[in-house]
Amino acid sequence: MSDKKLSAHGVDEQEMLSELSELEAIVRSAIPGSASDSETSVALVRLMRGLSVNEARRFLEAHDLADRWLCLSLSEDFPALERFSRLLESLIRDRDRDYLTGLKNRRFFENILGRELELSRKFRVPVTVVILDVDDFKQINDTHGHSLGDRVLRDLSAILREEIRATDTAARIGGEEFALLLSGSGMRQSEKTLERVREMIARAGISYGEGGEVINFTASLGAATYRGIGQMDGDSMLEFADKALYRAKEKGKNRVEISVVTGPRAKDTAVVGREEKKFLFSG
Amino acid sequence: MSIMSGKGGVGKTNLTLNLAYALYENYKSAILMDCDLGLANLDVLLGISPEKNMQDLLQGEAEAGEIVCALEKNGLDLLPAASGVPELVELDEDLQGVLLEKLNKLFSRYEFLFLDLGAGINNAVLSFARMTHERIVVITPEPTSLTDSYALIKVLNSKYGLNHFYLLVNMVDSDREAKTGFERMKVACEKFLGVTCHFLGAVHNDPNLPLAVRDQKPFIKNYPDSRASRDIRIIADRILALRGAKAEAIAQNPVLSWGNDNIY
Repeated sequence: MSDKKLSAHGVDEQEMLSELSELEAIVRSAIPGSASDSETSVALVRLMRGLSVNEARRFLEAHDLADRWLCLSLSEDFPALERFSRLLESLIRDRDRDYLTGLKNRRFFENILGRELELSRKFRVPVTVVILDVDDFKQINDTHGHSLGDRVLRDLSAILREEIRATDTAARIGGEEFALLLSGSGMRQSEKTLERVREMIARAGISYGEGGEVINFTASLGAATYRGIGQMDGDSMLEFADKALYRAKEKGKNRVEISVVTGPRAKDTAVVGREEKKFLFSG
Repeated sequence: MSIMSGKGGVGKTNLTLNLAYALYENYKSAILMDCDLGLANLDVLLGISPEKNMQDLLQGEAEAGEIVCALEKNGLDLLPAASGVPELVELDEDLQGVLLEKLNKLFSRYEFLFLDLGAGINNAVLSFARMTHERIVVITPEPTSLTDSYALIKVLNSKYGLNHFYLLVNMVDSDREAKTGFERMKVACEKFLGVTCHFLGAVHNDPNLPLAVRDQKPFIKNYPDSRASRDIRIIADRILALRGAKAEAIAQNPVLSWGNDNIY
C-alpha cells in the first residue's frame, strides 16, 4: 500500500486543487499588491464560520491553501469566493475520514480522544482506548497482493463498525493499525466487546481466486482503560494501549490484552491549599 | 493597569469606570478597555454601542480611533467589549501582535489605560493581566472573595512570576474592616507566595451606588459628595502619584505587551 494513497484526502482532491489555481489566477489578475498573514487569518475566520482561527489556519496550511484564499478574500470576487468556500467545505467534510476504509482518521481520533479523557476525568466515567493491529499483514500483502490487503482492511473495518456502539469511535490510524474509543466502557465490558471483535475477525476470512480459496486473518488488540483518575492525555493513552498491544503480540498474536491505567496526580488540584485557606478565613 | 478579582460581583466594573472618571476630573485622559465576556459590560452599563470593531481595525476598514466610544468629551473613552476585545486573547500570536501594535498606538494618546477584566481565573484574565504595567486586585471583606483573589494572585505568580499587586477593598462598612481584609491577603501572599501586596485604598458601601447604575452614569459624577466618591478620589490621587513615580518606566515600555510582567 503506497503512502500517497493513504494520505489522500478525498477522491477529487486533485480536481479541487486545479480548480483552486484557476480561481487564483482570476483573482490575482484582479488585485494589485499583497496582504499580510494576519489579514488572511481574519478573512479566513469570516469565511469559515464554525472553525477557530487556529483550526482554519492549520487546515489551510496543511493543504497549502492559505495563499490562494488570501487572494480571493481580497478580490471581493464573490462568485469565486463562494466556489472556493464550497471546495473548502468538502475538504473539511473529508478531513475526518479515512479514505480507504471510510472509518474516521487519526486526526479525528486524537481530537475526540482528548475531549473524551477530559469528560472522563470530570465525571469519573471509564473510557477504553484500543489499538488493533492486523497480524502478519505484510505477509498477506506480499503473498496475495495489495488489493487483497486492502480488502482485508475494508472487511475488518466493516466488522469494527458493526461491533461497536454508536457512541464508540473506530478509526484507522496507520497502515494496518486501527484504534477504537469505547466511551463509558470499563475493563470488563471492554474485554467482552474486544474478545467478540477478535473472534469475528478471526472467523471472517476472505475468499479469492476462481477456486474460491479462502485466506484467514487475525488481529491483536491492546487496550487501556482509564477511570478518570489522575491527569491523562491522548498520547499517553495511546502509548499504554500500544504497550498492551505489544504484550498481545508477544504472547502469540490473535489476542486481547487490557490494562487499567491512571495518570499522575495533579500537584495542585485546588489552587488554594488548606493552610492558606485557614489563614485567609481567620487570620 | 488591569483591574481584576477572583470572584464576581465585587464591583470591579463600577470601580474601574469611576476611577477613570476621577482621573478625568483631574484633567487626565483615560481609556477603559472592557475585557470581560460577561453580561455586565461597560457598554451595557453605560448604554452605548460601538459602530466599528476589531475586525474592521485589522482589515484596515477602521482607524483605531473609530472603535472607541467617548464617555466624556476630551479625554475619557471606552473600548467596548462588543468590539471584540475579549476575543483578542484567543487569536494566534501573529494576529495578536498586529492588533496590539495598532492598539498601543491608540493607547499612547492617553495617560491612563484601565483593563476591566472578567472575574475568576481563566486564560483571558491571565493573558490580559500579564500585559499591563500594573495590576489591581479588587477584594471585598468576605472570606470567599479573599480566597478567590488569593488563588488568582497565586496563579499569576506561579505562571508568569508576577510578584507585586495593588489591593483595593471594596464594599466595606468600616475602615477597620478594610484593614482586616487587606492585612489577611497581604500576609498570606507574603507568607505562602513571597508576593508583595500594596494597599491602594478602600471604598465604602454607598446607598447611592445602585441609583447610579440605574442612571447609567458614573456615580462620582452624579453623587460627588457621597462617601464612596470621596474614597474613589483618594484612590485616584494615589494612582496619580504612582504614575508620577514610575513615569520613566512607563514611557520606556509598550502600553500592552507580553514582556510587561517584568518591567519593574
